[in-house]
Amino acid sequence: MSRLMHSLLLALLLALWIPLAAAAQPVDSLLTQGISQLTDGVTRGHAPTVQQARALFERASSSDARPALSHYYTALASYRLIDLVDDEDRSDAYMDDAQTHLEAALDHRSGWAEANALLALVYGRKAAGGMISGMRYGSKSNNAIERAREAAPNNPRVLLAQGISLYNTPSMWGGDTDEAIARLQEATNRFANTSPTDPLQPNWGHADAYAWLGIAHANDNRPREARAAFENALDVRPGYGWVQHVLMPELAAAE
Amino acid sequence: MRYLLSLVLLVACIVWGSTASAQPVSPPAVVTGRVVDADGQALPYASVRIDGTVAGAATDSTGRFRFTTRRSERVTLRASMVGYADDTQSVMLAPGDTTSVRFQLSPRDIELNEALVTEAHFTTGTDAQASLSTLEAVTTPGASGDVLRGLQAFPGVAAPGDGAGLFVRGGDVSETQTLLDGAPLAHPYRYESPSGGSFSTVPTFLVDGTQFATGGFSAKYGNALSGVLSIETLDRPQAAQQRINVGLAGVGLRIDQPIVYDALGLRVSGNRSFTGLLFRVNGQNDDFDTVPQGWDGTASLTWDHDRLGQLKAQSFVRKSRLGVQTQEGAFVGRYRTEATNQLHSLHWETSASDWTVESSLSWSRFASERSFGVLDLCPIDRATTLRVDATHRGLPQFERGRWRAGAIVQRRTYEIRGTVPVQPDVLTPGAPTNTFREALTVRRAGGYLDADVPIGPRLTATVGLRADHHSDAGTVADPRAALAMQLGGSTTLRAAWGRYHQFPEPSTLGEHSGPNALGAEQAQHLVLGLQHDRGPWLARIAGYWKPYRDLVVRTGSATFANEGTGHARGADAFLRYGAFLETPISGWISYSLLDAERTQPRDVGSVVQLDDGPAPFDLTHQLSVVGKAEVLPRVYLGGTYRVTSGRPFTPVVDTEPTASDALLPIDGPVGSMRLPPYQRLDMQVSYFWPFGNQQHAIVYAAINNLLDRANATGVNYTADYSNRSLRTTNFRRSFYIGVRVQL
Repeated sequence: MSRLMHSLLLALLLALWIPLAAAAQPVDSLLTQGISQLTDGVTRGHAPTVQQARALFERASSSDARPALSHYYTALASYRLIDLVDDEDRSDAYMDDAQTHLEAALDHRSGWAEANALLALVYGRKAAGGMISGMRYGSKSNNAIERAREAAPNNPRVLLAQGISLYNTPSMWGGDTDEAIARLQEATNRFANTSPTDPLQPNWGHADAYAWLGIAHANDNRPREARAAFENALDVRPGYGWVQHVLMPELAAAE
Repeated sequence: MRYLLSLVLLVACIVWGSTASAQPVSPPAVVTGRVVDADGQALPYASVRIDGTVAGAATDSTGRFRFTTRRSERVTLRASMVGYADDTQSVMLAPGDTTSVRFQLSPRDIELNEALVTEAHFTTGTDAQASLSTLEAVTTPGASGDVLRGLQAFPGVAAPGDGAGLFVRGGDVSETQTLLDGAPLAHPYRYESPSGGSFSTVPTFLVDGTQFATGGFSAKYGNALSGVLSIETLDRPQAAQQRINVGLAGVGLRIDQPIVYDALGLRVSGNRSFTGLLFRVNGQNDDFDTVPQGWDGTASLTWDHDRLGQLKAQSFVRKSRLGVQTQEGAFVGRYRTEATNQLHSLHWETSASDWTVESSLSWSRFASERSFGVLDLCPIDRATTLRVDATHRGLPQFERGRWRAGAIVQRRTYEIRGTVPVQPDVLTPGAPTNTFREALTVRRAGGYLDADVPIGPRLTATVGLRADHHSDAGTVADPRAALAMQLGGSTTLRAAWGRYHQFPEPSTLGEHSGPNALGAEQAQHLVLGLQHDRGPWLARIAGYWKPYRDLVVRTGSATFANEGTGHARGADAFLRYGAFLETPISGWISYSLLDAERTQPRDVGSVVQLDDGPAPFDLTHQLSVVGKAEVLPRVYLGGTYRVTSGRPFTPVVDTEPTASDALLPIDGPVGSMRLPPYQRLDMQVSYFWPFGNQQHAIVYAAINNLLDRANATGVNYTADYSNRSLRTTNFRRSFYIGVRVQL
């Protein structure tokens, strides 16, 4: 009897799962397609590709399936576009958009470390707008990092956000380049030892961690370590435009 | 057998599950189109989708899109693009049909809202749209860290002396209504006087932002003839923080304490002001027998709930007193005042479906004692107010449309006892007086409805109607309309017209004030303004015409009637560059040109006659120049220079003896003479010292009235009114220093 019940239960689950899976499928497809475009666009530093990816994520966010993930990726695309568009007003709009979608993601998945880590980076960008913005968004960035750390202290993107924040925060507000380098180094180690099981879950940042590590070394007058970090970034993401066409030439010019 | 049965069931369920999700086979509907911006230029990579679904597409580099769907019904298509307001269109889809749609997206900053269509609307706060940041307003040299004094630097606001009163476009100080988190604040000034008061009653560093409308404001605001100042207090504290303020004139402490992480927070503050030390340092202690002093305390508890929204309970108590030697007309004596101001409120903001609802329930009590010669008054003003404002985000087909509706109910009790001179100008001890004691309760209810109606991608109209009923003064209805047109990306043309009513203050309605037959005062606003906002620059110019009727004027020694008329007309200009702490140099220039006339009482011995003449606050020219600069790393130097035409006054030209040998003044034509022009230069230097993690100290020093101008504030007369002299300010050159530490 128990075997019959087991089979019945399995059958019912399957019957429910099939329409659900059918509903989720377009969203998954949009996300998969968007992630691919986003990765490609960021690597090439090609804003239109990232914008197309963002449009796919935004469409996905209209669905009830995977809302937190869809909003997260929409925000991630907007975060990437902050530096890819050449108009300050549009950059500001993308910052606002990223914040809005991350708040929506957190509404759907409270305390999510990935969203809080990215939110901390977005707040960090806003904090760079001036002293008043720094006072307003600096503490928000710190709070978001704390929330992310509480939820997932070993998540490499949380460590990346911490490192970037520590590097960009003026020392009078608690910033510390050495501490930033330690966090970024730790992030690169974690990235190297992390392999995601679900292709839709966030899996970015490894090359960025090396890139920021290189920036921190370069500004601390350690060009050899900086170059090694940039090389590592290109090993992880071949052709990463930001590293290849911006950071490395800047380093070479400084040398 | 059981396995077979299970297998059959399993297969049946899978087949059912599969077929349940299958769609009938028919040719799909095709949706094509283009997305362009307000100028008709293609918008690449915009997102177009069927609202609430994932069906859709992104536009290509030419702004075109195409997608197919198997839906055959009426759907809403939504186009969106970061930096632009969404656009929606309703279309009917049919199998095999191709539907072509064109979307035109407007930049998000022309999403017209109340702040934009309300002509001459200034804001402070952290919002990017704010005219000035709150920090900037209160760090204006000469503002003494007071938010109301900071607002005096805006055009259209007359500052006829050293006080904090907001005299908007020729109107009296009482014609500007002050709201604190939506709750009316009947007594917004400390050390109240006919010209407002010396400072704001709301502690500056509890202020998150302000919206200040100097005309043409929407139907949301009633019972205000000239202006509206809406003050929002700080939200729930995000982190534990302490702020200490120590200066020559007082000490203050604010503590922010989260109680439940991300949900509940408490903020308490206390200030003790004592100007004795300030006056001693500056050698100006002689006039006061009780130097201006007081204390205030506030407590607010804010709860943010996922579903219920935000609930904020706030209590505020302030006590103040002073005693000063002064002169009024021919009488010289001590003016003493002591006041207690309380406001307790409950504010609730929540969203449901497409509505956002803000409600506030407040209870306020203002009690004071004032004595000057034979005048001795103890008024107590109590009010209970319920206010609800609801905003609907608009119908999908009118993405920029927005509906607002709201209501206010208020019960106000005014009690007063004391003695007043039989003749208002005869205050000498021994002069005949009347003693009285009375109480009056009035009720007011009002409601409004208004909507933003997009007329095109660049033009939006706001139309509204409000109605108010007063238990003693009757019912009034006020239509209002405004237009805002975007001229290019950074320039906006605005026009507004509206009718405005204000009910008489309870002090003029009581039995001691004569027959109780006063109605509402009325004004019309017609304003036209142009604003250009690009980068660090903000330029604004506006012209206005404001006729008055049914103004309450004194018609006898203590009687009033709606017999006043008048007008105010003029132009305001405002040019700002940069922002404090954001740019190395920042500042602004504001200029106001004003011509205001109104009916006023003219005392001719024991008789009062009404006369038309320049309004008491008709300051023809007013120019303010404010500049701030970082002169050394983290050292900021600022200055404010203000020059204003002299204020009109009514001269006493003769006297009439009474039976008690006192002399009654006989006034000349009202407003026929003017005080000399007012000039003042204030300088301020501050040092910003950040330390630790988000902690800082600001050390500041100021010299007010650096030129030591003896600005005239009124006129005095000898006892027989034979000689007139100028009464000059108590605020000559003075030095101030203080430090604020945030931990």
